[in-house]
Amino acid sequence: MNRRQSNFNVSLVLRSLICCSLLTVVLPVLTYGQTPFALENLGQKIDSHDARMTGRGSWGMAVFDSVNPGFLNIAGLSALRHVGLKFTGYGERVASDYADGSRKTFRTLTPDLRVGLPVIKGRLAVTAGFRVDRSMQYTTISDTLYDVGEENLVTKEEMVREGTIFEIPLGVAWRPIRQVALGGTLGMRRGTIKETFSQFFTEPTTLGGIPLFLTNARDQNDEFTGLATTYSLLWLGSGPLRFGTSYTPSHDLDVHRTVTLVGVGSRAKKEFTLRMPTELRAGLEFEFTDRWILGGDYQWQEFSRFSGSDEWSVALEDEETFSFGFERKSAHVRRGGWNNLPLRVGASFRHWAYQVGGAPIKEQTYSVGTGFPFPRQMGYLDMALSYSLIGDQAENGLESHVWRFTISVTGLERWW
Amino acid sequence: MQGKGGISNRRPEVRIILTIWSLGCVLGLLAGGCSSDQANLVGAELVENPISDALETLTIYDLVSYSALGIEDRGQPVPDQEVLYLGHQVTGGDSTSSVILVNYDFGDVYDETFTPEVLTSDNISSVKIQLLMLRHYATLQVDEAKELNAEKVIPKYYELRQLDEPFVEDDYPGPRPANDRLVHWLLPTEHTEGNTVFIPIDKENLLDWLASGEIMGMMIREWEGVGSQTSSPGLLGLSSRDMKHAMSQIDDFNEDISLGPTIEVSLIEPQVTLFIKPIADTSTFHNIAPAPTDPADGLMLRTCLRNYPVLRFDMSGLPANVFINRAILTVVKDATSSFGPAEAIVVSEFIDAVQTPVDILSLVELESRVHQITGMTSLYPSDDLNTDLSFNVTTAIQRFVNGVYEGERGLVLSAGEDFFPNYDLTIVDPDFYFVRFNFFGTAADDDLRPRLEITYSIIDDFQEVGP
Repeated sequence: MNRRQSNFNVSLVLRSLICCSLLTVVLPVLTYGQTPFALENLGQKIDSHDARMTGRGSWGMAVFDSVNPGFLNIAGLSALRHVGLKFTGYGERVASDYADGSRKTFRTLTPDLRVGLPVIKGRLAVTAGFRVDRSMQYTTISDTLYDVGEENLVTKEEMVREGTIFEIPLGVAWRPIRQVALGGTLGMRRGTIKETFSQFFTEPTTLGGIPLFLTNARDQNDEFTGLATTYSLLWLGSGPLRFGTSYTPSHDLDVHRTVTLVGVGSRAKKEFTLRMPTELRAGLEFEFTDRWILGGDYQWQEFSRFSGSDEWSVALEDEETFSFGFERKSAHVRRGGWNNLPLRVGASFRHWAYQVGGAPIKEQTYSVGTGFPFPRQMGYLDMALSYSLIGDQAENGLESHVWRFTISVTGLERWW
Repeated sequence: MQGKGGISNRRPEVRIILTIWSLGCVLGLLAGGCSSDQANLVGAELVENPISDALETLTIYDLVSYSALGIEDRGQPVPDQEVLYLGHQVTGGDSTSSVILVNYDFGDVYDETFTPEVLTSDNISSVKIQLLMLRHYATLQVDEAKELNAEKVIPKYYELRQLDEPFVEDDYPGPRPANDRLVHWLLPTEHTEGNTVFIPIDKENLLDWLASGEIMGMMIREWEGVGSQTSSPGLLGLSSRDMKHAMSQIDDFNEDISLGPTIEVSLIEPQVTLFIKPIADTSTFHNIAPAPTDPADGLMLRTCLRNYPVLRFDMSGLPANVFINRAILTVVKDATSSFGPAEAIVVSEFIDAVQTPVDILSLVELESRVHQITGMTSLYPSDDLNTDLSFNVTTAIQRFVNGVYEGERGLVLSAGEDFFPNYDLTIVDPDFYFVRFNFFGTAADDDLRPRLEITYSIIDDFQEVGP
């Protein structure tokens, strides 16, 4: 009977993985673009939330789980007893509105790939991986007119902004005493933001339809390098309450900017340093029954003290995120049916790091999620569906409605 | 029992598969076709135009150097050219004149058929020189021709003169021979049949030439005329003995027609015709208007005797690191002083633009020093409706701005030479027809002067230092 159940689970997992793979492969071909708010400044914040955390409202600072580990608070990895690998990706549909129109976009992103390695089971672990911190991908096209002499030039202006700032975190988690776990990561921050602004002078044209005036295209390519450290703490206590926090001191991001005007032989190059501000995170988790958990996180980054780019600084303000929700953990009751499935519901509210249209951007997200265990509890397939409303048309001139489907695959293995 | 147990075991599997399938359906509905809308205005108001100075304009009139480039086609010297030019073309303040020189070897006429006994005054019915006009000239209509009711022919008064001695090919182009005597002259429409002109010769003259057995030089020229009997202005192109494109350039030509100025002697008995073909012929171009050496006086593009203008504009007013959206070289044709059949004009970069007003290159040297930019075909020099010729030289100016070349480069206007295959659309090369385009010079009004109209864009980033 056990063997039969095991075979079924393998089959189920395989099918699920195929399903996920298809989504991952198909969606990028068909999708492109995120919220237009990412056209400006630092871009959209991308959290290191797996689908489990996303489903219950994007919180997970107090996670201490050896079967479905969370990588948001590195200290929690000290619970690991097996090598853990976690892959998170999502596909999203964004409908953005402004006074005179709307646009629907799709895209996929793989923001998080992590591995955790127990050195001393349940006490000491090391971790490495990849996570996206900021992301931007959006394109706009507008029509305008230029007068050159006696000619009116019909012009299409296109702006493409795309890129990511990501981190390669190398960390260690250690639980020196039963109630307390500590963690630290050294994150190599890298990234590129590319902005291409083009002016297509579509008319007048030659008799053959070739525009008389050549297209202007300005490319700006920013390459980021930096190093960030994060210190984290997890207080486990002895009761149902857990508390986690992390602190990332301010750090520098060196920027190498190259600007080209396509067709011109010279390039403008300059280097400058961005001072990224301190970031604090804290979270609580309350396990009020064997299956039900209630929790929430708070994130704050002091972007009002950001420096290095006057262009960005003027619109920056402190970034805050508050998230909460609950989770019904999975059970393994024979013939439990739906009752065995985990159930997650939550919400989060974010105040973005920068203003648009002279007003802060506010984001509210509501999410649900569930998951499926791998055979012998050696991993999880988690899924979350979330809806976000970013910005306000009256305040910011724009708003985006984001439907996002997140998948995380957690695999555990005894490699150590 | 076992079967029942099997069904029972499958129920969770079915449920979960259904769950995944349902989720997939939800995803599919959410995706809604999974095709993003085209980029549009949404978000455009967040975009700040980083190209602050777009489509600035600059018109450059000043030249830093100019050359009236002379081109020698050493493979096709004037005496070897296919067309003989005759006439007088007055254009504004200058003129172009040419006569035709022909040498005949009268010591090599007699043979078994045409013996001294046959070629006698009594047995010769007529002697004439046959000239074949090229189609362009045979069909040319000029106002004066209409007035004289000589449709489709430039009215010319022809003179045939005997030179004191044969001409020497190497002397031409050059001065017209001075010592000669009139053999015959004729009226414009007299002895003209279609594209063929016959100049009668007194048979006694022929017999004298035959008796001498020498090489004789002849000159066929335009008679200036007196009173109302004056030739219509213009150069006339006639077939030379070296003509290779007769089939395409001469109407009703067939292989039985002799090329070049040929003496036709018709006999009574036997009733045959003797053709005495020239052993040499040439145009003298004894009066050729030189290409202006000062661009203020105008620019000249000429074929046959090639002259191509080389211009280098003063681009010091153009900021560095600009993107050239459009650059147009405009020259304005003076249709009143331009003449000749349609020709292509090609604008090219000219490597190591010369500083001297006049320079002479061989055609091979020219080929090695030009890089084609653009051009136009089928341009009629005297067409007074389309006098402004504008050439798109955007890419070349961008290369100049980018400083991709060592040394200075100018712009040269030339005809559709063989090494410009896109513009060499006619069967004949530019040595064939005598074509002259005169363009207004730098002293003319702004709307007539040669000019380079540049539209450019620039970004501030090239001036900025630091973040």
